[in-house]
Amino acid sequence: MIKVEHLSFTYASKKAIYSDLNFTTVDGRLNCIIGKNGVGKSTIFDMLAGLVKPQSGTISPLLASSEIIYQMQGVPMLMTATGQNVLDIFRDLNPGAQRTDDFLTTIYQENVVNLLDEKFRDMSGGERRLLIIYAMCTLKRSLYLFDEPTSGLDPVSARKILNLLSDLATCSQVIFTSHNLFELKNMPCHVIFIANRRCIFQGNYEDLMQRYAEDDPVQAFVDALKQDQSVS
Amino acid sequence: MKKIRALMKFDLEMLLDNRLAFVYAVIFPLLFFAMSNWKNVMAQQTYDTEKLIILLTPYLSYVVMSNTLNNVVLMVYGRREDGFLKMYYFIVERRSYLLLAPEILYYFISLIECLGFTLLAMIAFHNLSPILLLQVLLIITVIYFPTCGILSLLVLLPIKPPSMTALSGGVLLLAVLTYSYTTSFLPLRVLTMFNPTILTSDLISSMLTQSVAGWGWVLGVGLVDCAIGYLCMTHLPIISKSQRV
Repeated sequence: MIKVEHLSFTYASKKAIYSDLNFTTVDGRLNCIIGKNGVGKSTIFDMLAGLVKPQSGTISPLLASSEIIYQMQGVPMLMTATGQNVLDIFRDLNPGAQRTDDFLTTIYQENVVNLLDEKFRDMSGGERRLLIIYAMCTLKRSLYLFDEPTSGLDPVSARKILNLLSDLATCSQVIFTSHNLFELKNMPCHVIFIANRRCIFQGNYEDLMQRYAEDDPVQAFVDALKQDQSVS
Repeated sequence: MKKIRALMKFDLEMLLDNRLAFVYAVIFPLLFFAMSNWKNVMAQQTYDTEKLIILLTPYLSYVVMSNTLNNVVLMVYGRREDGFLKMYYFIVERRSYLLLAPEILYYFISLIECLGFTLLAMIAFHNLSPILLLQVLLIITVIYFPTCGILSLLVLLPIKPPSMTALSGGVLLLAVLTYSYTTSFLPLRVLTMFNPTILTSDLISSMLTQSVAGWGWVLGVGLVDCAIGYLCMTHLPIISKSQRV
C-alpha cells in the first residue's frame, strides 16, 4: 500500500500540477490512475519512483529504484530482434531473480511462445506491447508502474495486457495510468481519478459508476470532470 | 559488469541495424584527408612515422570527438528526452551504466575506425609501420575517456534538442579549428588542454619529444577530465530537463 498525502507539485514554469493530492493504493488488486491528458499522471509516476520530489506532502513508502519497474508507452527496441532476443535482452539487463509465477507461465504459453521467432518489426502494436510488458513482469520487483500500457491498442490486446497486470497485482503492487474508464469494467481494480490538481474519487469501478449514476463509462468520465469543475 | 555488457550489446545491435552510422565519424575526415593530401599521394611520396602521426593528429582527434559527441553524448541525451532513460534506469538499477556502456562500446569503435584510417594513410604514404599502429592505439586509449569525460558535461544541460544539436555542432567545430592553438602562458595552456583536440595534439607532441613534463600535464588534465566524466555519470539526469521544467 502506498499512501500519498497532501502532495503539491508545481513545475518551474509555474504550472501547478497538484495541490493537496491525497490517495492510497490497495494491495492485491490493480491500481489505475485515471484522468484526462495533461493532468499529471506521468508526473505522479515520476514522484512515486523517486525521480521528482514534490514541493510538499509525503509519499510513503518511497521505494528504492531496485524495487521498481517503470514502463513507458513506447519502447526503443531493435526492430530486427526476435521475440526470444527481446526476452534475452531483458534477462541480460537484469540477471537477478526472475519471476516464475504460474500466470506468467500461462501467458508465455498462450501468447508469447508464438512470438519467439517473429521479428519485432513484424509484430503488431499489441503483440509488441504484450511482449515487452511480459518481459518486464518477469523481473522481480515490489512496485510496477505502467504508463498507459493499453494506449492505442484494440480491446482484445488491451484486455490481455490488463489481465496480465491483474495477475501480477496479486503478488506485487501494480499501478497503471489510463484515459479509458471503459477498460476497467469487470476488472478487479482500484480507481484513482485525478482532476483539477487533486484526487476527486478513489474506489472500485462500480462505486464510480454508481456515484455518477451512469452505465456509460465515457459519460461517467465526462460527468466526473463536469461535477468537479462546478464544485471547484 | 554483466549489465554493462548487455547494454553494450544492445547498443551495438542498434548500430548494426543502421550500418551507415558506423562510417559517419570516419567518412568526412577520410574525404578531407584525401582532398588535402591528394597531390602528395599522387607524387608517390613516402612519409616517415613521425610525419605521418603529425599529419593524422587532427583526423584522429575528430573521429574520437565525433563518436563521443554524436554516438555517446547526443544518444544518451536523446534517450533522456524521449523518456526512455528512466525505463532502462529501473531495469539496470544504476544510472552510470547508461552512459558508461555506450562510452566503452564507442571506445572500441573509435579504435577500429582510427586504426583503419591510419592503415589507409600508411598505404597512401608507403610506410607500413607497426609502431605507428601501436602509437595510434596508445593515443586513442589515452585521449578517448578524457574526451568522453569533458563532453559529458553537455548531458547535464537543461536545454531543448535543437539547442543541443546546435551546441554540439559548435563544440565540435571550435575544437577542431583550435587544435593547433598553443601559448607559452602556462595557466592558459593548461586550460586549453581541456579541449580534447589540443589534448591529443599535446599528447602526440609529448610522445615525439619524449617529454616527461608534457606526459605529466596530459595525464593530469586527462585524469581531471575523467573525474568530471565520473561525476556526470553518477549525476546523470534520468528525466527530461528541458520539458515542462
